[in-house]
Amino acid sequence: MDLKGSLVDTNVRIYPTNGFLEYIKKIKDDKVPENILKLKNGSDYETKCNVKDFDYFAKTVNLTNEDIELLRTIKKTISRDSAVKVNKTEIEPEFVEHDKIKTNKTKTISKNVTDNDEKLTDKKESIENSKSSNNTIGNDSEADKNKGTYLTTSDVYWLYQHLQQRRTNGETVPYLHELLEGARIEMPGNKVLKRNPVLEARCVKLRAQQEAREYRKMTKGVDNVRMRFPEDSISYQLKQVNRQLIAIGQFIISIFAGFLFGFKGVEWMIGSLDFGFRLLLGVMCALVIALAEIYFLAKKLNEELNIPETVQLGGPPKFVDAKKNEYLVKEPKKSTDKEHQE
Amino acid sequence: MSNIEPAHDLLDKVILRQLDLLEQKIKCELNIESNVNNGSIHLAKSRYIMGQSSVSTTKLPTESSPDFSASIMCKTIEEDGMTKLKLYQNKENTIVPLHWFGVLVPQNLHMAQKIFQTTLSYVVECSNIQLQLKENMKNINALRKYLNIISKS
Repeated sequence: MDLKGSLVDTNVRIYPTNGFLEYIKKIKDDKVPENILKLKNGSDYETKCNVKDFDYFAKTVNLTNEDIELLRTIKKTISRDSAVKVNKTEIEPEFVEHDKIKTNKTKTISKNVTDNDEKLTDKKESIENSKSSNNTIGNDSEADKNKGTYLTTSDVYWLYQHLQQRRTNGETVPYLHELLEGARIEMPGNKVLKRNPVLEARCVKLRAQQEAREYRKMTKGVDNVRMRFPEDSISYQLKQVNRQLIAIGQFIISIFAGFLFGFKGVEWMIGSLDFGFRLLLGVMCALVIALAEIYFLAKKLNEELNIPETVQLGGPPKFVDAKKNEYLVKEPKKSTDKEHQE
Repeated sequence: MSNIEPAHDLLDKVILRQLDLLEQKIKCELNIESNVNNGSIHLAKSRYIMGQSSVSTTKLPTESSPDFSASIMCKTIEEDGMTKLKLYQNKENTIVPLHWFGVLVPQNLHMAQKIFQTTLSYVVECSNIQLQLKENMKNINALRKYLNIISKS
């Protein structure tokens, strides 16, 4: 009966690989985001730096037009390239060394396929896995060691800008994608909310009462004692008659009031009117009101008189037995130990 | 080749974008969740007000009821070289779904309807992000292949 709470933290968690970690440890900079500092100095490292200091970093990297152009040309060359390769393999299949590659089209850059490419598919898989289920178990043991220390996207943005800055200064630094190679990406998990045992006990009690009520209703026809009760009692009949009389009385009164309004009220408002016209007005008003009133009258008369049973209802004994019921918690006895009595 | 530098840089950017899109998608899904929750609460409230039988599945149109078309539809458009989904209002042969439950329905039912309508736009947004994610994944693969080829040759 546990519920899944909604997500609180929407950040993706990126668990870096060893190579990445080593690189991070080499960073010499004062202004570093918290998570990177944690990675640098161990998970229990506490920082005093203010998170707000890093808000000024651009949080999105947009592709410029040149980038898009470049992408397009690259894609073209790729498609041309792979087409050529595919042709080659078709002409001379005996030259293909890797059997795997032949079967798997995603890896078809024929002989050029290296470990790198397999890593790529690995990463893709890991991304897709984490998309489908929140609890991906990382295949690389190195990430498990660093549980608790992870990067968020803003850290990665920071790193990107940091690397670019250093590159413009003329240093040779690795590219971000090389660092991220093999990193595990995890989605934030849902919090599981435990059901309150008090609420659970109350639910059990209410359910038991409801069932007992239904049972009593069902067995009413075969129980000699209750069969004639309460429909045959005089008070029930009188109440029923009363109710209907009141409803009809209301109906008549409102129609009469409507007629009076048309007959007298309009005359008082406007001035003296012809008797025939007044009568017509009154009847018209009364008719309109009667139409509306009939709807309510029908509704009222359709209802059945419901006398609540005076007997205190409890659950049948099966609900008291905690072992038989999966919903039950420790002590539901207090609430449901009264059996129904006659 | 002189293209290596920008290609590396581009791959960085594309990967960053992928991460960004992932987060966007999560946020969008959260939005959907909270909206659906809200709408359901309003629906439940109107059910409480009107009675159990007047707001229930028995009031929904069945197979034998006359045909009608959806009042909000979805179409694919091309924008900036990307396929996107877009909602639009359909005016022909539509019905007012609130009339299934009666002419004078409580305000909560109207609110629930509005909330579910906004949820629809979130759903479309989410699927748009999903499309972009796929596109981006393709870009990443292409760039990787390209870099591989260059580094080998």
